[in-house]
Amino acid sequence: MQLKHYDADSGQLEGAIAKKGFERSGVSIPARKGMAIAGLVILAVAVMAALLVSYQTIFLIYSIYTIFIFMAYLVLWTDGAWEEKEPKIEMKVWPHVTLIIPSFNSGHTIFKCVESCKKLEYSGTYDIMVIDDGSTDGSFEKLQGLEGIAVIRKEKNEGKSAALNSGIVRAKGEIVACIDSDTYPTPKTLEKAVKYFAEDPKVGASVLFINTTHPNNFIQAVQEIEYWISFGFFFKTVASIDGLYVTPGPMALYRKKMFEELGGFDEKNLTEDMEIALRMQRHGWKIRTCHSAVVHTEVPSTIPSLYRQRLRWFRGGIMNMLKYIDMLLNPKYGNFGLFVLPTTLGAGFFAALFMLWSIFNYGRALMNYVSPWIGKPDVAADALMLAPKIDPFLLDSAMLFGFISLVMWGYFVYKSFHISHAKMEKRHILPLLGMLYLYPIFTGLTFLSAYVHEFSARKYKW
Amino acid sequence: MINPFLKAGLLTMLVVVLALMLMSQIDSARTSELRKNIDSVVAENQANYVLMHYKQVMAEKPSELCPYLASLRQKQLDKTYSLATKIQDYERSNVLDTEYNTLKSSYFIALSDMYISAFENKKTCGLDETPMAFFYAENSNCPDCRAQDALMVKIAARCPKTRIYAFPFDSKFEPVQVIANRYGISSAPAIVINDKKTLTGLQGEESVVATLKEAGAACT
Repeated sequence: MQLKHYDADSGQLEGAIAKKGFERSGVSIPARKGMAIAGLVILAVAVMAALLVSYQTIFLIYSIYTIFIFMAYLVLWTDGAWEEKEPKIEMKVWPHVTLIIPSFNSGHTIFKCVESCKKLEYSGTYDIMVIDDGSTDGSFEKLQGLEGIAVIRKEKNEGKSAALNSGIVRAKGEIVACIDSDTYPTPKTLEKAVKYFAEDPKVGASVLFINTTHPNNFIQAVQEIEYWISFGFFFKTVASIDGLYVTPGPMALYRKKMFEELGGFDEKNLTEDMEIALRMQRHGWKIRTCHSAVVHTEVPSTIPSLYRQRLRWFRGGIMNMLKYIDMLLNPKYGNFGLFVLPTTLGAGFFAALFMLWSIFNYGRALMNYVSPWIGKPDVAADALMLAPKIDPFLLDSAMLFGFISLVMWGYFVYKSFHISHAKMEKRHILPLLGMLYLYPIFTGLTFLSAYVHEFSARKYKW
Repeated sequence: MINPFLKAGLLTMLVVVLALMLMSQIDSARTSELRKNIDSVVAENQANYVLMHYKQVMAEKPSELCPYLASLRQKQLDKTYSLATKIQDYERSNVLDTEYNTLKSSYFIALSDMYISAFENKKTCGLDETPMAFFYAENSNCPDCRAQDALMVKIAARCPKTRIYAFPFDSKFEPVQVIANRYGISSAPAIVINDKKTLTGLQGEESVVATLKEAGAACT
């Protein structure tokens, strides 16, 4: 079998079926440069406008926007997203599943990954295929010695998407599971998640509950909770309106027919897992989520590596948002176009804007404090002793709105712990606070950096 | 079934309206606290006028009024000091209330009056005080003013017999304008010591203290 080639630049697929699909949805991929310039202009105008109004006004607008989004999630959650809707289907025939594990110099995790794949309890049959993407750490040679897996060697390193595509072409299974080499599925994963494909032939992918491995340090502990919240509460809620915009890279199940119709992963994309999900949304394929199927994945343990990971995610997000910009606020795509895209991928724009404006404001405050003393040694000696005056009891009235969204966020956290069957312990307190106070700053700065990187069209280094 | 997003929008509106109501409650609680204080300062100012009037019309020996004037003055000064910062801070954290302009005008008019009566008091009752008029900018960003303000607090602590009267030199209230014009203040920060010596630009603690000593104030 040959996968249709998906051309990232034109968004065109080879072959008649695919073309028909594209015409149906009326796709026109905008020129990226024009979009980038438009984005920058909007950003600049917004910042200028923001500087003209007071701190409270901006804070108020941003808070009300946040409260609305949170409220929507809350309503969707109470309206039924909370239910675990397992398909009530008696499976007569379990489809064959092919697990594809792309591996590049992953000697330290791949064996544990393969091990947990072998331990999967599945009523049907499945086979494991490792695609070695030109590893140089000797993991390929060691993998060849393992029993029960097929190892395919690509001499040239071409990236994860290309490796996955070459696996999909060879896959025997009706269902294809793409697994990262640093991800360890729990035994029941396949059994639980495959059922969703039997429910509806238009289900193109089934998304699992991605958790982190047991955290070793503070940064991983923050991510542990973050994964519970975003892949737990938020994914569950978004899935309830058929609005998943990403099939997480660590592990997801796909119907092979979907790839045959829509083409393989985009080999030029930074976040190919998001691109395929958006492509599925555009062509009317459904993405289901299965929270009883838990998958553990390794996460960055240092700030620089976390920064690199997020920069890649956010750049991929911007890239794909621009590519699928015609779906944004497009009523044709229903809740996905009107709510999910603007509040997830689009929200990054606001986060970056808010960050830019905060940096400007705090920078100005700092300059105001420092500038009088510059070049005046006699005054500076006195001034150093005078810290800027801050009255902790003097709360800004606008803070009230921040407090409301904080309470709602607290409820989401509580529910996320519930979904992940985790007990709230003492060790969670600091990471939660870190998430509350440091994460927005980190995320905002990274988003800003992603915008700069993407708009200056800097090459991404893996 | 009602559209969940419509529901969310309505709920958001409800929450926002409730929060705005609570916010205006907080704001007006702050305003009323300030108003109470400023009102009493204004009342004491009027009491001061009555005493002066009495002195002009009926007093045989003006010095018999001095203890009353001194006690009134002390009451006012204790309050005005904390009021100045409170007005500024509350104004900044306030969102909905617009009463601050009225409050500010009564405050600055009262303060101007206290500054002027300090000199009258010195003449008639021999008040032992060195008044310092400190001019800052209200309508433009003035980092130096904030720095000078912080230093003034330290200076006042070193020189117990001095009083700081802080005025915005670009104020729109006439009494303040008159005082600023008297010293020809055209930029901030500026300090006028005892109605005579004018210092412009950011001043170090020592140079202000030295000038104060020249003017006869006791400083440590």
